Formats: sequence, C-alpha cells, structure tokens
Amino acid sequence: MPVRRNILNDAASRQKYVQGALALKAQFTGITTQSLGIPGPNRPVSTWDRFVAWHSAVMGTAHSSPLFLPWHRIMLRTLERLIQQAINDPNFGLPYWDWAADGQLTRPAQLTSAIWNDNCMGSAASAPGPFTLAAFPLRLASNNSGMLVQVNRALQRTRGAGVQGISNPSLPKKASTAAALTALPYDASPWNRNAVGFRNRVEGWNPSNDLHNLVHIWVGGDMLPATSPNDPVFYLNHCNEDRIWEAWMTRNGRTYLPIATTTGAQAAHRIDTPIQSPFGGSATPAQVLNLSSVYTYDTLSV
Amino acid sequence: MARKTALTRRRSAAAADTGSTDPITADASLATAQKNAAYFKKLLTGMTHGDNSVRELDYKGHHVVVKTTYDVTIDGKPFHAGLGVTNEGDVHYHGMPNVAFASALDLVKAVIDTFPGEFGKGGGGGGVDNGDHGQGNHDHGPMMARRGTRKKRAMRAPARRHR
Repeated sequence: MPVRRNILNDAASRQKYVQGALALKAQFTGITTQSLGIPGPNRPVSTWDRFVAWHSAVMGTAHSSPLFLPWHRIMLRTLERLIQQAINDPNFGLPYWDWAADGQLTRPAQLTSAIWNDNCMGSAASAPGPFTLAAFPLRLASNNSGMLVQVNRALQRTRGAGVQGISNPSLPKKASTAAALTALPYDASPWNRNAVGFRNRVEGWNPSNDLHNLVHIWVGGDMLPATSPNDPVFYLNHCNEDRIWEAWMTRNGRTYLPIATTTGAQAAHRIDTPIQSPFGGSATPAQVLNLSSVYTYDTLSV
Repeated sequence: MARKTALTRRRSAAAADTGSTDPITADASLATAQKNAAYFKKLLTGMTHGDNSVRELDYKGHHVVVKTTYDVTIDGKPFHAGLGVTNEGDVHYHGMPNVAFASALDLVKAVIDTFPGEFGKGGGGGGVDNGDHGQGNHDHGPMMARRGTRKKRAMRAPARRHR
C-alpha cells in the first residue's frame, strides 16, 4: 500500500514524483484541445495537462464549497495511480510538502528550504529545476477572465513576493494548522467562503489568506490562476491539505456535511452526489472519507 | 439559506462509508475520456461568471440583505470575471480563485500584474489621481471613499436592506 511521505525526508518519493510528473507531461493518449473545447489550434493534450483542464472546469463547485476536500482527494488519488502506471511502481505514494514546517522559518530561510533545490521543485522564477521549457512546457493557462487558452512557455513562480495588498507573505504557521484541527463542524451554511467550520478554515478563507490559499499566494506565478495544477507544487500543497483532513477526521470522526437531507445546500455538494472524473468513473464524498486501506501517511502530525 | 444551528448540524453529520476498496479509477485512455467528454466540454465552455454578491444577516430581529455588483473597466474595456465579496469584506475573483483582496482596486492591480500581456502597455489614467503613489495604499479620506477606493466597499455596490 502506498505511503505518502514528506518530500523533504524521502529522496525516493521526491525522485519518483519528479519522474512521474515529467512522464505524464510527455504522455499523450489522443485527447486534443478541440475535444476539450479549448479555442485555438487543435493540439494534443498531455495527461498532466488534462488535470489542468479538469481543475479549471470545476472551479465553481470544487472550491469554496464542501466539495473542496473530497474533490481534491479524488484528483490526488487519480494522479497517484497514473504516476504508478507511468513509472511502473504500484506502491508509489504522492509526497506532501509540510509547508507549515517551513512557515516556522524566517522569510529568507523559507526561500532556501530544500524543497526549492534544483533536484526537487527548483528555485528559478522561470523553468525551475527539472521543469525546463523543453521537458515541461506550459500549454494551457487561464487568461484574466479565468478561461482556458493555449500557450507555449515555461512554468513561472514568484515565490515569497505575494500579490497586491499581500506583499512578502510568510508561509502558513503551525499555529494555523493546529487551530484547523479543532475547527467544527466540517462545514456549515452558507457552504461557501463565509462558512464557519473546518473546510473553510483549511481552504484558507476564514481567516482569509491562510493555509491552502496562502500557499498558492506564496508560490505565486502559475499557482495563482485556476490552472494552478500546471505547477507540480500544486499537488504537494494539496497532498498536505489531504493529510490535514485525514488528521482532522482521525481526531473528530469521519463526518461530512451536507448530508443528503440537509436543507439549503446545493445538491452537487451533498455527501451522496457523484463527483465525475475524466479519467473513469465517479465517486461520492462518502466513498472517499475513509481511504485508509488505500493509502496512508507517514505521520498525521501537522 | 439553511438556518440550522451548529449543534443540529453536528448531530446530523453522516458517518463515513467504511468500505475498504479504492473507489477511484484512473484510466488515461482516449476511450475512457470519450465517455464523458461532452460533460467536461460543457463545463469548460459553459463557464459564466457573475459579478454579483448577496450577503445576508439576521441582526436584532431584522433580516438584512446586501447586494453588491462590481462594474469594472480597464482602459475603458469591461472586465467581467466573477468578482464577489465575502461577509468580511474581502474581494475575490474567479481568475485568481485563492486570493482574498482587501479592495477591488488591489484585485485589479493584481490582475494587471499577473496577466501583463493581456492589457497592452498602460497609457496612464487621464490625470486622475488613483490614490496610489507606488508605495502601498494610503487613504485620501472621504473624497476617495466616494470614488470607491476604500477597503470593504464595492466599486459600485448598490446595497438595499430589506425589512
């Protein structure tokens, strides 16, 4: 069974993840931009880039809603299985980035954490580390309206710079992850950015610009738009989010809201509504609450 | 809008399915993709973004509804990309879905910073003082507030209180 490990503590997980990312970027199975409805010339779309399109398509339902955690759990597990196939290792487990550990460092030290070594995610603002323009070209990106467009350029980051009004942020702190573990219930009406509960806290809306959201802001560049799965850091961030969710469920019970009979919640957000995947069948939030027999984490200390 | 209490919600939370098999399939083949291609194509091509937010509040027996509409132009061209505002007054936007901005002006500046190739070369603002002289945002007081630059205020925010 795969064990998901801290990318800074396990060289094998790191090497296999980079290998897998490059392999899926180079894997074409016949899907084209035309078949996805993306404007511009009809070009092949790699398996890696299909995740970019998938994520972009579901921004409205899989984010700022109760589905945030189960939807990304399905996405992560799908990617994990496809990397297992690509590198021929059925026990490969996606690594995670314990960004709150780096958040305890000074801001300059955060920039030189080992995750940014050139044998890991790389430190360059453009085409970092293993993700060169030749090996890892960006082909799909969001425009300023959030719509997918075709591009051909290198991956970009603005680590630590922030955005207007949030300049030079720090990565999230351990105090924030600890506080998230005590947040109850899982989610609550109005089931969006205004909700009080664990999901909205760990997503980073309450308080604003914290945890998951802050990691996107801190990495910047291609981690800002809806096409953020372009950046391999995206999955390291979400794997850590999934780990925090697993820690929360271990502590508070494997519960989810809204249930089938909860009034006022969208049907799409309920525990028994299937989440569609372009890579096969569907799964409901209920079906993914307990995957402890499918993969585990090396530690749930967040 | 649901009005259940937190206690009620906790009591009605569902127990997890304790099944032990992997419910998630992963098949990158064209054949599998074609099975639900129409569904995802519709999602991708049918995305629409309203620039409206509705906030509701029950306060001292009164039900308050605040409707906010953003009407933003950049170089005179409409910018429609799903702007909204949270109960805390943070402004968010579909194009950068993980960021809560303190103001719509910060948001638009971030849009121009993040997508510089999409707006061409800036030609200046026609002599209008936008309140930003390059080093952070300082407050010009009530006049600037009337022009819609204050934190937690929409660029155009018709707010009506019902009841």
